[in-house]
Amino acid sequence: MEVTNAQAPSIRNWLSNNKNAPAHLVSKIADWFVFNRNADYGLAVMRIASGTFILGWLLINVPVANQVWGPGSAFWDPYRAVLGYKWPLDILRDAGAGFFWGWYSFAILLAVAFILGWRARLITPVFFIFYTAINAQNTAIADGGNYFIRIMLIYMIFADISRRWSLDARRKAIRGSQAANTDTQVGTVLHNLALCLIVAQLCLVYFEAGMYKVQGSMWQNGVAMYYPINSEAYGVFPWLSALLSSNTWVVVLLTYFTVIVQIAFPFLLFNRITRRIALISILGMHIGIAVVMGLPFFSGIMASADAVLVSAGTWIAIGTWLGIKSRALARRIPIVKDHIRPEECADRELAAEPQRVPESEAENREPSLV
Amino acid sequence: MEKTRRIGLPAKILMILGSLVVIAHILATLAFTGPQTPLRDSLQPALNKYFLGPLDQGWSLFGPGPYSQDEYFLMRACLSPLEVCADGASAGAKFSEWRNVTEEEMAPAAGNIFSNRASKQSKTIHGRFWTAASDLSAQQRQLIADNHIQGQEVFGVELDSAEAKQKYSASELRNLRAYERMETVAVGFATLYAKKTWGDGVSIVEVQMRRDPVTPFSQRHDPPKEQSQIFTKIGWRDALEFNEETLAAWK
Repeated sequence: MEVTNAQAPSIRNWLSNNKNAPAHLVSKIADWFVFNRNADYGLAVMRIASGTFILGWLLINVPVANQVWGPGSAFWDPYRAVLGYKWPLDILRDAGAGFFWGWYSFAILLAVAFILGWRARLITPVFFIFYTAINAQNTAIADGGNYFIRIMLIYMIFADISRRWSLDARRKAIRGSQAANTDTQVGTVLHNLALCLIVAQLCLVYFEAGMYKVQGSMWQNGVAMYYPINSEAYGVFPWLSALLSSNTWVVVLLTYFTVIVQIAFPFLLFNRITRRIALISILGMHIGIAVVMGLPFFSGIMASADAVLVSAGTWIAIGTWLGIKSRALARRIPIVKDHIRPEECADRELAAEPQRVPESEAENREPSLV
Repeated sequence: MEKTRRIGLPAKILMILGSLVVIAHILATLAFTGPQTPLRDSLQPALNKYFLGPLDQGWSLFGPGPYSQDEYFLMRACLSPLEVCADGASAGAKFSEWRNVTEEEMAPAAGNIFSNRASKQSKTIHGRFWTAASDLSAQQRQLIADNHIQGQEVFGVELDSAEAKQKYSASELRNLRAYERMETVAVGFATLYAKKTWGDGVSIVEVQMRRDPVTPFSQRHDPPKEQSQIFTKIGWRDALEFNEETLAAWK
């Protein structure tokens, strides 16, 4: 009888049963911040993907860099004088061609080091300075991707972005167990604070982009998508723009899809299933923007940051699958095949078995993701 | 036996202070990048100061109004000495034809999503110039369309002088300076483009910004024969001086 009374649903019983809930919640949050460097695989993918996009962007622009960001951009000087970039970020303002090319070339090398995760603690802030100084020369020509990655690089300085899939991780692994547990609590807190900033910035960008759109009459009428893709600047493939705009349904659905996905994005992250829907939808939107509007750098940079929202288990599965496929491809190329000894093949077959995240590790990671 | 994990004091302090900083930064970012509100106004000028430089950002991204026009930068130059150009064609001044710089820049980008940024130079100048010019009064817009060569001030007064402070209110002066900056950029770009195209004999340049609205959605299957065009014009201006390295980058 007493047991039945104790379990009777009442506010008093609920409060009594959950009196330690606030303390548990605080403890859980503190544990999240201090004992695990969260989203380490996601940050590794973000590092590799965003680094690759920046590298591609630097290389594509080599033929015009001297004119767009180098001494040729001197006509922007009255404008950039009021932008507030201080030393060393304004170092290129009065630089000659030799210094500029040295800076630009070093930025390319830094991008490679950043992708490989080589000495990331040192390379990331230096890369930020080199990349931002180039952009500061001509901010007007920057797109949303340039703005976004500049801010992300600031946050990434504080994160342990080379913990996985990097030369830093490889070096630590070679050193063995002696150096395996060098994570400091302060370093872990900084990493997780940086992760919070990255996710918050990402949500803020999508949410605000959606909120600005929803205020516009063309977005409300469902025809906004038609206009940029039919302009000369953003309609890279006129035949594709014409195809997409020919049907009213397609235009209206694409317009509403864009607004809804952007506004809903932060709220869809709270549940695992809706998070997947959000990520797939936003990736679809980015692919569309990249191809139809000719903005691959912007889309790629944004999508690379979305990687931190994908769980470690998913990234490990994707990494393993890619490993299997690349090894299979390598075996088909005669010159590579000749260099693989039979015993190595056998070793690799074994190594190619899908890796499983240890349960304890998986338990730590999954709920920890935003 | 379960191992008890303890949180060190430095980590605790960092966690608390760091979280406060993160929350404050994100709220400030929301206020800075969000729409104009009394809250945002109350945080100025601190907000603008904080986001000046590397934290500068804006995320309206095609909102509230999508990009709905083609933006062109047109220019021509006088290829005779300044004194001859000042007296016009009747004095024998040689003028170039009008060039649509934006169209020329964007031609290699057609059908290529990996085009380089040189294809967007004049378009980005157009966008910023147009915004700055839109903040001017009708009378001031007339002044910018007039010719001002041989060192004449566009608004009749040097904008950093005491005289300008007497002539214009603080907000007017802010708009005029913002405009003047963008006009100098546009004229500088036109100068470099002209020297690249016609050689060093360029003495004055004239610029027009043209907007061609995209055919309205409802008329897309039957577009009007006559395309409407809107202009903002900069009258003749002295070509700007640049150093050898800048000129070399354009050759």
